[in-house]
Amino acid sequence: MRLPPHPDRPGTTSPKLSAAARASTVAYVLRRCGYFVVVVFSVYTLSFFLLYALPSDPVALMLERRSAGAGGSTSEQVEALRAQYGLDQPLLVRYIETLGQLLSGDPGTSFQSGRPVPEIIGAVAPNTLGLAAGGLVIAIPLSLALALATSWRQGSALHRMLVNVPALVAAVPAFWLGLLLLQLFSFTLGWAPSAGGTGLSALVLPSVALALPVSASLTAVLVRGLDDVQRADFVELLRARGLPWRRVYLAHVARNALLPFVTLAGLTVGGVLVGTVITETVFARAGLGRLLASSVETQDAPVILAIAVLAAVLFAAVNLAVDLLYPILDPRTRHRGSGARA
Amino acid sequence: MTVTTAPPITSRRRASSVPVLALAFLGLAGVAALLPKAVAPHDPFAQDVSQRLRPPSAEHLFGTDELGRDLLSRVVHGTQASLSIALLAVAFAFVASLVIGLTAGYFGGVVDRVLMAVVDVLLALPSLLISLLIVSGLGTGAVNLAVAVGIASVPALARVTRAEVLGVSARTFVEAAKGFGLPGRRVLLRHVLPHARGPITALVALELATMVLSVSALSFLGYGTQPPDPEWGNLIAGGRDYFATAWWLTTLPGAVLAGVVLALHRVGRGLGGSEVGPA
Amino acid sequence: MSIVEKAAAPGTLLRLEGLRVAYPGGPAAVDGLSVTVPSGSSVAIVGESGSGKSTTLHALLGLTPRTAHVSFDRLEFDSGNGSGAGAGAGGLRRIEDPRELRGRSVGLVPQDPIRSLDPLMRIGAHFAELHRHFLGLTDRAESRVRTIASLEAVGVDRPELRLRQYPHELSGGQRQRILIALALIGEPRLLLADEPTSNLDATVQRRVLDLFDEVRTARGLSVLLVTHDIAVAGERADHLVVMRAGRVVESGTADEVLGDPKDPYTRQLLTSLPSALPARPAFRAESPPRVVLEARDLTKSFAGGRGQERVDAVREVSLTLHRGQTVAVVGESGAGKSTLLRLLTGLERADSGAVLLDGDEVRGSGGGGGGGGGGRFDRFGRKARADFARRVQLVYQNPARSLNPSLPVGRVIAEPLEAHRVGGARSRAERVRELLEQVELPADIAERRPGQLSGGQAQRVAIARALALEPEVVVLDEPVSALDQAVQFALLRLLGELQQRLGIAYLLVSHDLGVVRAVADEVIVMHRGRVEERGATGSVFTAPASPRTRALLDAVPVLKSSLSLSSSASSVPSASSHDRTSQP
Repeated sequence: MRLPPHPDRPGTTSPKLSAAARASTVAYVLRRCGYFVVVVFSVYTLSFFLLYALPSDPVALMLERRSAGAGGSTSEQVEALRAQYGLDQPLLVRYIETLGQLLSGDPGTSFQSGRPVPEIIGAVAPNTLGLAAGGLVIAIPLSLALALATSWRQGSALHRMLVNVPALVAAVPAFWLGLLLLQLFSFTLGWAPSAGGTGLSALVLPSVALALPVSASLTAVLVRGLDDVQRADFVELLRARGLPWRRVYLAHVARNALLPFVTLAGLTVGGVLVGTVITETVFARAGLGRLLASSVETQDAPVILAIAVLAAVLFAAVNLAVDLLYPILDPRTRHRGSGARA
Repeated sequence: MTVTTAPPITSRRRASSVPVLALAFLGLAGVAALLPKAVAPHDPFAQDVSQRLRPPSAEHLFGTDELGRDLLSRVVHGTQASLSIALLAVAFAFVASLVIGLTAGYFGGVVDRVLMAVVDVLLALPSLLISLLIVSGLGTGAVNLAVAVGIASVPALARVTRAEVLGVSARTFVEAAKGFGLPGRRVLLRHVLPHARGPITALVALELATMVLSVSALSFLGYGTQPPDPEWGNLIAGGRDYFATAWWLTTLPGAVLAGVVLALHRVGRGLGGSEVGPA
Repeated sequence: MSIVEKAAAPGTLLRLEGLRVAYPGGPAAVDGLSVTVPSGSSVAIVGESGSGKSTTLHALLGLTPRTAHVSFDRLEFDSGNGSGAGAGAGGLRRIEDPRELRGRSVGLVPQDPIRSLDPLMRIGAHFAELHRHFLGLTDRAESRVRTIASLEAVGVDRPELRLRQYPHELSGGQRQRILIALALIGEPRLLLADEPTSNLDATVQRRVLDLFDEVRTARGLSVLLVTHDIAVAGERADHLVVMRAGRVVESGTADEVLGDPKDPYTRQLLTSLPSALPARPAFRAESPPRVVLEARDLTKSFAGGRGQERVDAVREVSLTLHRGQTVAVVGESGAGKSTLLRLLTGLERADSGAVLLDGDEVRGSGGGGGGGGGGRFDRFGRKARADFARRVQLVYQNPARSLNPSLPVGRVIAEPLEAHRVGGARSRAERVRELLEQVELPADIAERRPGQLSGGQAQRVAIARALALEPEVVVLDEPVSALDQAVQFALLRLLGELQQRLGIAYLLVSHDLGVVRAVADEVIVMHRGRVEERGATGSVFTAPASPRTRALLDAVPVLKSSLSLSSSASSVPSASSHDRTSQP
């Protein structure tokens, strides 16, 4: 719908103002990038102190587990291990050292297995990325279609019925939903492999289980947006002009409602990634989620820290992308440089 | 100044009458949590190997587990653990976020900016991840779980509280009260809080539902109440090993859990909240 | 009750009979309404809020919400087969579904130009969409040419530039012109205008209404105007339909209705114009003059958007207010009226300049650093703050919003007394009764909640609260603009009486020049933060020095009714020719 640029367009805005606007755009981008750094750094700090400054002692736990079959351990062994992992250093020194290590790309070695963290993460990350991608591929079209169908006719029977679906799904615990799916499709119907497995067929059921809770909240937000936009004056006016409802709904209502929806991208990606903790446990798949769950149990601090920082980088990157894109999508937020969120 | 005819169907409050069924169900769950011994038909720990993995029957409405324990009794006793952890988490979250939200919303300025910057950073992370981080720091167990789940929901709640306080503070009657010289503290207590209270109460019900879900999910992962003590999440986790043959072990506790969450949503919606979507 | 029976004769464009609209669980919003629009003429439906005039308009296009029950006995429209105005008889066709009329037969011009354009679409795209729909025109260049032509036709400047702009980049007046141009694309024979100017400044309002007249005569259209303002209706329409509570109480040609109103309600509308208020005696300051509130060179600027300069909201404004005097501040929106008012009441702090109360400077009113949201006068003590609050009180534009809905009226009124620890519980209750009596409300209203009051009652409560501490100055921020005309009238009269009795000084901010003229002793005309003109009300209104003031004055619609003392620009209203005893 963009009109071709006109050859003799008179200056839209005075040159002085557009220079100011450009400067403000640069400032906006810089501020958003700065925010990205702050988020990741804060998550690192928070995770570090939660993991290392709190009362529990990872070394004791580690030794207890490692030597479960081989009798107790001596205090010398404990001291040696503490020194090996740098745990004898003061907290602040370790905080700075760990930060330096992370920045140079070395998150250290696992307390539990003694293997380097990148190796552990690298081994399972592809599984999780595949699952998360599968979840998104299902969740986004599903919630779009459901929301568009729900909001098509305000006050209709269909609307009244469908509007409750997201609420219903959101009330069901995600892990229970996964188990029900597994029971129904693997054990009763035998359509899908029950656990583990590779390939596409093994990916479908977990992806659905992962996508459903995410779709529920996405759909609910989208329906609310669509319903709100339909009440706007300009929609009524377009109807009064005699435009067909299909046109008004898709070209105007949906477009306006999808805009704030974009800002949910970060939350969606976050929801899907974190959902893998549950989904991978339920479906007994190897992956980052399950690695995180087991590391939390064994208090394997280096692994947890690495996963937390990685997650923070991902979420913050998605949010950054949305923030930078938003002014392009919504003309009203251009040249203003204020926060992009509605 | 014509008021155009607003579609009357949008009124949330009118649409929701008193949710009798939901309240009754919650009442039942409440009784089960307070007096599990009076409600449960059997001893939740009494094993009977001859009766192991029996499907639901008149004697055992929910069937029995792998040790022959009555599942219904275990679910009833689990109610106490699940609901008390969730309530503790809600209490914790609300006190913290009310303090943060009220302070930021009412005082504004630098206080607001600093507090909201912290909240925004935390909001950038999914709450389950925050809970997991805290659990790994504090270790597993019921109280630690409550703290973990509670803290994880503080950022979102603090934002909502602040927005609510700001919304009410911007209303003309609050400015009017400041205008005729009412001291700030009294404006806050008398004009701002009573009006923020309604939406916040609705939020309590909805947040309780979220907490019940989070607590059970973390228990399912094994961070909460440890077996043999029953709790909804760990009952479902325990049933996984048998669920090819004994469907009731996972399905029925899960149904009770989903029922409680639904009922809480219904009540929350009745109070004017909205149940799904990011806060 | 159609306008005239002969309307069935050739030349009728629209005939609607027996329209009924009801919402579930409520009384009929419109009950048996009939209206006829002759071709080429303009008809106005006049009524106060809740009279059903907007519902009528929505029903005419099938835009009422699904839950509404709509029925009519007969709807006929002359779609004029190809011929222009004055199409022959027999063109009148029965319409079963009002949705048929949308766009091609009837063009709607909405009430709120700000929210009536899709914010994500450029102006050009709005036109292109309708060109495609109505004319099947898909060629962009052609659509562009047509758009520029139609923008020029409705007087939008620099149309090439506008094409590429988004709605939020245009002013309200420009948007309303664009909306008119959009309504004309389907070449409708009837324009429906829903309070098309009520959200615009007076000067813009006049130009937009002129545009309606131009378009109507140039294209031979008819206009059905819906408005609450009988003066606008009387000035612009050939026929008037007066509605009240869903029914037509009177209809006829404008001259008939205004010249010889039959229905008591119409009479009341005409006699409750502000110009019918009793004349004010010329203001004479006490000797020695007692200045209760004074502002010296107040300046306040706000940060503009990012990368933009600061905007001066108020620049070097001074004023003096004597005991018992009313000073009005007028100007278009954005002129700095509200900021000035907030500076004078201490809700905002000036960058420079000073506010003086009884000759003493209010500390903290000018200069000084920033402060937080709760920081009114936070640089100085409670005592000074309390003192100021006691002596200067504010009455807000929207009475319903300025009262805490959860407190009973008695508590609302007593609250300033409690805040300043005046008297005990019993004496406060006594004072509340006294105040209610002063604002002419029954004593039992103290038990009710603000939500149960009408707009006029709520504003009286707000005034009672403002008077509780016996202030010397009451600042009135558009005190009657949210109220219906008759209620406005009664409230203005009350304010005048209270002033005479209690010797309060009023500082009035209003966009309604009729109100200002009727109640103010002195007028300050503001433009872009500066004082454009000031002087005694009579002289400013009769001999404005500034062209901007003149433009403002010209924009006020003039009512040609024999009943009202219309504000003909040459005479100061006088009490002599008017009997003001019959006010209900």
